Amino acid sequence: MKVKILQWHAVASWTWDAHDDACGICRMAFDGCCPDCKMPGDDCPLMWGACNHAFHLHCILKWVNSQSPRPQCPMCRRDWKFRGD
Amino acid sequence: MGENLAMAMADSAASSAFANLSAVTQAWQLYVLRASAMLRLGSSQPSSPPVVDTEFDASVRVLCEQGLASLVVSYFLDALEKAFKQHEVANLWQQLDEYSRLKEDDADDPGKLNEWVQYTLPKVLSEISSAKLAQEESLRMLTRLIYHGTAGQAVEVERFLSQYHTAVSALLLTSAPQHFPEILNLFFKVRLEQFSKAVRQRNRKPPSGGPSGDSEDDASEGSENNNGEDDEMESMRSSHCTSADDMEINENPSENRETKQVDDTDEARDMEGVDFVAVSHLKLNAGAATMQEVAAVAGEEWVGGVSSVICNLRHIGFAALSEEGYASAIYSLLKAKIHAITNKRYEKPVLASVRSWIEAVPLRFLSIILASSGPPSSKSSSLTFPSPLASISIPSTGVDEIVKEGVVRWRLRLHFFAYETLGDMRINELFDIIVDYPESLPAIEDLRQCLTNTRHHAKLVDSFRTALRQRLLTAGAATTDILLQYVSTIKALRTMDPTGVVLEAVGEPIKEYLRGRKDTIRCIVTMLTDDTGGGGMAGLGGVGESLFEELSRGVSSLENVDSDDDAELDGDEAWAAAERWEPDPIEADPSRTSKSRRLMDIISMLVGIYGSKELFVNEYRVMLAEKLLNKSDYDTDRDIRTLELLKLRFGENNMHGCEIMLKDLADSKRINTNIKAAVAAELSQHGLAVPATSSDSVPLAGDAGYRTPTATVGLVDSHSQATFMQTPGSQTGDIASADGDRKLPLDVLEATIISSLFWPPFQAETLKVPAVVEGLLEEYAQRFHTIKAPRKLQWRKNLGTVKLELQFEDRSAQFVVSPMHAAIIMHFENQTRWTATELAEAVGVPVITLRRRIMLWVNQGVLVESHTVKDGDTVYNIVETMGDAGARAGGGAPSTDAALPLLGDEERESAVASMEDQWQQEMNVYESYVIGMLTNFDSLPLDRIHNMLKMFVSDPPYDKTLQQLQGFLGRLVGEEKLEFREGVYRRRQM
Amino acid sequence: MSSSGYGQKEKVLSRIAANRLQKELTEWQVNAPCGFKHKVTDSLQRWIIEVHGAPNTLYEGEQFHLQVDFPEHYPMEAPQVIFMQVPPMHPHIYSNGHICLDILYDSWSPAMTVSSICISILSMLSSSTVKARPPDDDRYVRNCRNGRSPKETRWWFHDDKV
Repeated sequence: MKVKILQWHAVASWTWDAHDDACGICRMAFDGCCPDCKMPGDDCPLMWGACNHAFHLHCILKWVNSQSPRPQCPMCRRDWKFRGD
Repeated sequence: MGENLAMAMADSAASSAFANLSAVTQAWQLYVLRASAMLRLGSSQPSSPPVVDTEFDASVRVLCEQGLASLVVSYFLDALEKAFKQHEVANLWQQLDEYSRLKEDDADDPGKLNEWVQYTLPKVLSEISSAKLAQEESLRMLTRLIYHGTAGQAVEVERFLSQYHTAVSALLLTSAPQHFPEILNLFFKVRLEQFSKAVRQRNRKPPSGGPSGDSEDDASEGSENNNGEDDEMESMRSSHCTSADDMEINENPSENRETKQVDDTDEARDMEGVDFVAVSHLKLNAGAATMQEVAAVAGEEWVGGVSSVICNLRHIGFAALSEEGYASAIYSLLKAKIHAITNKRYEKPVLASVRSWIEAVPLRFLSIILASSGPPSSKSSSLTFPSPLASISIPSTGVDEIVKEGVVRWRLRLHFFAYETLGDMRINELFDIIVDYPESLPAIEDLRQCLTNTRHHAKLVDSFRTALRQRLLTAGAATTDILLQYVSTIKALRTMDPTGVVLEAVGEPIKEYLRGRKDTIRCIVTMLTDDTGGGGMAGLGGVGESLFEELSRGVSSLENVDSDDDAELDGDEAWAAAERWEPDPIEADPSRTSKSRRLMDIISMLVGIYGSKELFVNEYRVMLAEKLLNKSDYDTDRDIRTLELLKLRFGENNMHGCEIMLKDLADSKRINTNIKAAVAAELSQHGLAVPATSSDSVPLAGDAGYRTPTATVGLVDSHSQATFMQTPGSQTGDIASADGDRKLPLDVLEATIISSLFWPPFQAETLKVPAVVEGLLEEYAQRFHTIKAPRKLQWRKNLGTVKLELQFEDRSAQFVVSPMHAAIIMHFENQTRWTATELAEAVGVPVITLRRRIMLWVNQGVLVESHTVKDGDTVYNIVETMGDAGARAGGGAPSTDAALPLLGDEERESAVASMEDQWQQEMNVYESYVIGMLTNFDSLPLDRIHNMLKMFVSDPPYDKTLQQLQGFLGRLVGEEKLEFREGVYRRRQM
Repeated sequence: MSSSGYGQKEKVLSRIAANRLQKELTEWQVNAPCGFKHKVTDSLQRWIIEVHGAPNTLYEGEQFHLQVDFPEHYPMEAPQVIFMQVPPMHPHIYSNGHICLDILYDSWSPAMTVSSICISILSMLSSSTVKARPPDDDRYVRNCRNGRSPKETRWWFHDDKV
């Protein structure tokens, strides 16, 4: 007997490839979304700092904007730089 | 009497010293003689006034002078009574004794008995009444004689008359035979029916000239004529208008009777049940007029007959007995009318016609009776010998008043009786009435009015709950039907009892039952969102549609239900609300506020089955998740539409999770397309063609080769099913091509990628998929990561659907199964024999799970199950050819069956067919059982059919598994013999 | 001194703040920092926390109360944390309850929580070697008499050790 797969419709869940489960600022799960958003994933992405700490984009932006000109990472207090900048 | 006389004489002697003893004795003897003569004369010629002769006169005078007046009277009374008893009473009962004999002899022909009663009763009553009248006259004469000229004459006359009357009444009452009330009842019954018929014919005559009714005249008087009943009721409505006109005329003489038309407001007023006060007020002015009207309808003779019987009965002291007689005649006719007009028909209101009929027939009939009864103390009417019509032609105001009062009393009484009778009938039929909703609204409105008057709510609750238990809340009823009936119940009971108390009481058992059914939520959601209208079975369309409309209305009331304050109302509204407030009825459950009871609309009630909207929403989410995960085409249009409606209803926040789930499907589709596009781009870059075989060979559900639409497999629950698909065209060279290349093209793989936090938690089931598939999954995940970095995928390997084709040496078949089933069967590609333990290890699931899930393939005849001798482990072997299949079946089936497939072995297609044939033959035995069951039970779920077959089929014994049965029933559905919907099978309506 | 005097510019919590506080409260109930007790109130915006002096420190056996008021944009802004009467005798704690602790002001980070603040305060108390008011206590308290919030003070922070 041979089995011929005509279509395999699989199910997966996506997850952010981050070290933590939750955003240090809003304390919401990364795989959920920040309190300002309704849709997780593309609409509420994560942002990593140079220090490798991740936050919801919307959360870290709020913090960084409120701390200019010299924002620090909420986790490690190093000067905040977006990773890859 | 002799002793009395002696003593009286002794007294007299003491006072008058024996002076005139002989004169007194002589006078007494003379008196006794004359009195007896007079009484004899009186009884033989009742109509001639008593003759007072001088001798009698003189003797009485002598006796009175001696102070013996009281003795004279009491002797006379005694003599009267004796004479009455001996002649009149005996004669009366003797004549009526005939009744018992006739009743027995002519049991088959009540007409004869009726005729006899109609003739005899008035005759004998009139005789005895006249006799009594004559006696009264002689008594009166005597007393006048005695008390002539004295101041107390009138008083004395009355006293003795009443003494006489009491004595005679007592005599009659104590001697009345048992059948006398029966005779009276029969008399009135027939008279009433005659009248009723007369009214009917009169109403029928004007339009048609009335010859059609003639045949009915010939019918025996007493027999029920059911065909005519409705007709009569119908015509009553117009006749009521006539009488209404009469009434109006009494009030507004200027109004023209001929031009007055029935209008709806009359009817409406009538329906409200408040009119009878007004009507009675009008009617009362018309005592005499009514009587003339009755005479015109029924004939003067008829009126006279009734009237004289009533007069005579009353005269001889049978007023109470006669009332009993006509009352029970009226009640039973009313009851019969109500039963006849209402029998199992709910689409027309009947109360109004019943009320009109009460006006037209019983009340008019009663007005005759009441007029004839007259005031109890009126001697003028009883003294004269009235011609039968006398009381009609000279209605004194006194009589009129009596009639008025009597009619009012009787109207109330009859209305109440009607409410009670109709109400109880409708209460008993309530279940059917609700089945017919909304066509049965008129019946419900009738019932509402009845209940308002009778307050039989508790009775209704009891009776309806019993009906529900017996007829609805049974395993045989489909969930959809229960829900539909529940919806109708809600609507109907709301009309009937706006306080919602009854609904609360009867709804609880329904809700409780529905909570216990697994498919309830699915059915509710289907009903709520089914915008296809007539898409369902008969009757479903209507309610389903209205529910959908209700949902579309977007009432946000649900959000407010919880709060019980009126804060949101402004001043005017609050005031109006306060004015409307009514205390809860005493039956109300105090733990719930009246506001919540009233505000709840139908959807809230359905949602309320689950206790709260949160629970409902959660149930919906689980259901949606299951449904979406079993999709292989990403098509969510309908679900999105449904969700939009539910959002309006339950608020956006509550449906947020569902929204994300649907968005996940849309995103998955896009990502899938992107990944596939990237693959195609790479291939073309490398100068390779996209392998056409795989995409081409994935047939769509609509392809010609398919007899049944593809059914996907429930993955989350354990009742896996597979749809067997015969694919005659697919025995091509694919096998060879697939054989050589063990790597599957990525095109075969599609994925639904979920935001797991927003989905209900899944059953964690480990599953090792075969390496080929694993490779595909890894590749897909890698590509996802490339597109969506820094996001990555985590496979839920046990979820999803797999469409596959099994290619045997002699046949091939397609299935849609769960990944676990696919993984299991794929292991048989390279190894045809597996023990359960080894296979469980290979698939990465517990042995017990494997054994359960693998049954699908065993039942499909793909694998056979056996046991090793050594350790008892289960062993599964692939069934490579139909010969093997025969061997498998050989366990329970006759050996001839095993030979069958060999016949068609040369051609593969027919081999597949014959395997099916063989299976069919085994199962065909059960077809008639299944059809029979579904004829009796209307619809049944799979497991019930299974259990019933086990219970009832013994030759040959039913030994199939649930899955086999399911496959068989699926085939019957395919043959359009059965239908399968909402989890139950039913016979297909031709 | 009225401890509620500082709430003058109270604004309703933003959704983010409310959301996060809800989470913090839940977490607190599951796993409260040692030596602290949240006194249940009906307000999410003001927490009253009971502090117990740690064993083997100057404050062993003593009990104080912290009042934590959250701003509209918590956690982007630090909460206002003060001791209610009577505050512990400590070189960094003024007699009006104001606390000289950098994380409550310039060094605030949104990654901090009520829990972490509490632990910092307790460690500040525990490391104290003298029970005394700050040297400028009189002057500072006088300046704050009109109900000024400690957050309006421009602090400069003494060394970390007491």
